[in-house]
Amino acid sequence: MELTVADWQTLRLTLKVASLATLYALLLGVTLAWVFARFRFIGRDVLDAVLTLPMVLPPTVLGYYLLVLFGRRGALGPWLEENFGIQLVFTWQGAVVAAAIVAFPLVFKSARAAFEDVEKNMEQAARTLGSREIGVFFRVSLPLAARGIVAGMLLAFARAMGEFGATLMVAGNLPGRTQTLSMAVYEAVQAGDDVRANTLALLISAVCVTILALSGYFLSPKR
Amino acid sequence: MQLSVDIELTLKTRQRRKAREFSLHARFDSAEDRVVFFGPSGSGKSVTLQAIAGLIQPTRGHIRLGGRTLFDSAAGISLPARARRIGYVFQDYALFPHLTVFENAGYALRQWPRPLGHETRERILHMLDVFGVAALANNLPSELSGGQRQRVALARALLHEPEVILLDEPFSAMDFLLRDKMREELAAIQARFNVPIVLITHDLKDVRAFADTLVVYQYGTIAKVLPCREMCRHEGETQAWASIFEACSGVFNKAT
Repeated sequence: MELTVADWQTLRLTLKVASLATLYALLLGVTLAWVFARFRFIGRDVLDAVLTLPMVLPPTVLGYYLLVLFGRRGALGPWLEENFGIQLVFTWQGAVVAAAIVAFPLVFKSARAAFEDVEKNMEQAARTLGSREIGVFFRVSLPLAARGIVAGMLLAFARAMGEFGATLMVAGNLPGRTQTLSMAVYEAVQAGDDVRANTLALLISAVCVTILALSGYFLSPKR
Repeated sequence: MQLSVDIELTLKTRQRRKAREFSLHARFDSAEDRVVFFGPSGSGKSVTLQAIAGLIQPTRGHIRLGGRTLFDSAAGISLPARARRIGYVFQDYALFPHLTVFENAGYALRQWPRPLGHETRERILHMLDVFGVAALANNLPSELSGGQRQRVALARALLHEPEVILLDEPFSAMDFLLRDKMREELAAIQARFNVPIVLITHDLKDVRAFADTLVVYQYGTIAKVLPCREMCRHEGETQAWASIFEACSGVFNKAT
């Protein structure tokens, strides 16, 4: 049982895709969570349902939507390629987008609950002490919601690591280019390569245990 | 301190899926430095205080404080809470749980995101020293007793150099012995810093200790405004306080 150079590359790509996807999901999720926790607006409930959709839709359906949007003949695909030179289909960038969208609701949901749990008095106190809204957010709301946000972020990262269906639809399974660990495992099993499947499965398990252990450490009530 | 309030507002709240409405019409003037709001729960004292601080926007009327107009619906003026220079001591003190006592006290002085300057740090420490909590500077609020929390909340409000400090039932969470002690402390602090205060209470002892002007609330309106200090001067203390307390208990009798 030995890891080849190709396996290490696969691991690196998996971590790169999952990290970037988590980052995007985090930025978008926290911003939208704050907006939802703070403001009442028309269509709020509908938008909430749409944003939660990636959590309940089959990943393949989600991948199909992404193809319809970003494919060669998709609604946004040609425009993205012409203006920004970005191609999402069969590229690792496409894998990032797919994983980010699948992981997004996990950040959004937990960040929103965390912001709603911040006592209004705390934010009001900051205002009476002269804080602008941006100061209230970064000095009070965000730190008080941090624990919930980090918890959501770790779940999002784990979800992005294991992403299979949507990524397969959008980015394909190209060894060395878009193949992530979960796809490599699938491929090894299909090919009857039990040794490789074992190795990769153990590798992915080790990474996940590490993440869980780290999150347990950072999220324990008192350090 | 010249404080002139004449506001109307309606709050819509939801309790067990039933929409409830509370309307308040509060109107009073005071030139005294120590004003007390007294009245039953839900009569609008706290809402008035929040309106003065800019945490709630009235639908109509005006709020003027020492020559400044904080709110005037006719002129379209409504200063945001951060620009009002009003200290607010919340009922539960609302200390930031993730910041130390020192960081809490210095909140208003920090030009975020820059760190605190050396002189400012000295100033904060000095203020904590005045309140006898300098030794706790690096503790979190969760590690403090009720009295210590209130001292930190007051220090935090005072360091913002407010024109008035509003206190929402400051002693209600304390046992009787501590209550008497903190009452004396607050009176001493008020005199030392010469800062005007407006205080909400249900306790006649607080009325006796702080009311230069007493505003008596009832059902979302103001039943009486009593110039206690004036009354004491004219009628003598014993006579004046007897009639003031009678007026206070009157609102409870009518309420039931």
